[in-house]
Amino acid sequence: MQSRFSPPRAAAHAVLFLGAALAGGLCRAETISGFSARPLATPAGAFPGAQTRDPIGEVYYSDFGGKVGRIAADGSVTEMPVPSTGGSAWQPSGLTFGPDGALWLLVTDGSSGETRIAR
Amino acid sequence: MQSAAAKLGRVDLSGSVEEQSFGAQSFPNDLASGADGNVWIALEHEAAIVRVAPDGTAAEFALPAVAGTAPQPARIVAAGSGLLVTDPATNSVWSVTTAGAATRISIPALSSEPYGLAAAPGGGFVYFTERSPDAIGRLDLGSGTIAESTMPAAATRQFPHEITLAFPFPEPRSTDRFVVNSPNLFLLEVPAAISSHGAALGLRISVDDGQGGSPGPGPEPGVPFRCVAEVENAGDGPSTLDLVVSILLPANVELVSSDRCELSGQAVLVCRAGGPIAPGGRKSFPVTVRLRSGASPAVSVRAFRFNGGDPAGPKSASVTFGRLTRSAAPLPAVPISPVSGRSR
Repeated sequence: MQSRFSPPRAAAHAVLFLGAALAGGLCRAETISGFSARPLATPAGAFPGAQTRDPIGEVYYSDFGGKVGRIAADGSVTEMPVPSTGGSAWQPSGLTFGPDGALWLLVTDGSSGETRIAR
Repeated sequence: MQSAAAKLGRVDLSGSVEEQSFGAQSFPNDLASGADGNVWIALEHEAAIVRVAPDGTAAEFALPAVAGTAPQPARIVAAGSGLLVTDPATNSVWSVTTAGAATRISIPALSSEPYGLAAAPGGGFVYFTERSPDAIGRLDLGSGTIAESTMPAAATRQFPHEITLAFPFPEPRSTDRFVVNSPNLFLLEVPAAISSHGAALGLRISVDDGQGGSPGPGPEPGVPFRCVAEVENAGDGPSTLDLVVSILLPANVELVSSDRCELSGQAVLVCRAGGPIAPGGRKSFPVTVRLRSGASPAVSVRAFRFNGGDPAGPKSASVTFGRLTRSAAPLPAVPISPVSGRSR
């Protein structure tokens, strides 16, 4: 997942600023009315990857550091370690809730690199 | 889903796995359940979308190159009657029908790298992340127009990546909330402005004898009669998914039966359309009631329409059946507040 975040690119930014300057005349830069975004207190060292939601709307994310995070309706974030069998950590990636109410995870064994499905 | 080996896996609750393979370097990146009952997969490195039927039959649909650039489908969600796909390579969102026909929707911001994708609850909008301008885009499924807002300034450059709908509220919902990670977490709040898709909903309530015939001059003690609330879409687009009609019963009648509505408390019947109403289509909610013994024989029933959005048309209607003096003429099928205009 980490590799998918591109580094800032000066050239792309120059194009973007040019685009923004032209936008007023060329295309209607409509914004989303009433839009607000506020940062949540993300735990130190957390690197949220894939996200899913449970049936009541709490959002869960996988953290490649071997954790799963949960965002409650009040915006509080808690992380829990992904239990593993054997000595090495399981690094979660994709995750979803099954019809059984359990959280199903794709996990990669930290030492062998093997990917498995866990719940 | 596996990327290197490019397979689709199906896991049952006992943990057994069935697998299906795709092109070795196709990089299946995301999947979604379509309204058609099939699973749809975005193949990032094959510029294609794959439809997989429950029996495993797969059909692949190529997305066309844009000015020589091959699409790289990233995220896919079911939206409306089809699917939407983000494509950072060509700066677009693709709208794909369940027959596999793709239409490109170009994003106003240049090189915006659209990635994460989430449908808003009303069915009229989808939201997507734009990694490069650090923004959120909103696509109106009815008009095909895109609005964009920049994420708040942060100490370090952000790359909004995933977006997930969170914390649904009961109706009437005023805010849609999403969690965005970039990779720091953000809570996004936007007014629950639901695109009406051009729907214009008429609401009326009428009284009959239970077979669609004349109800007579007024309710007779102990004789059931029927109230029918009906919503008709006189607009040129489908209504949103969460249409609800509530019928308020007066104190002098009691419920006998109702096929499609649930009694909530003593007097309120909650009726759900259970799906969009197509242009020209209608949904009716018949409710059989009878006069309580000894009650006044004048019955006034009101209906209200709730649907999370704001399509044109009346929000309430009422009908009165019977008068205290029994000489009055019957009042069959009285439409209240006819539909006019449409909203966006």
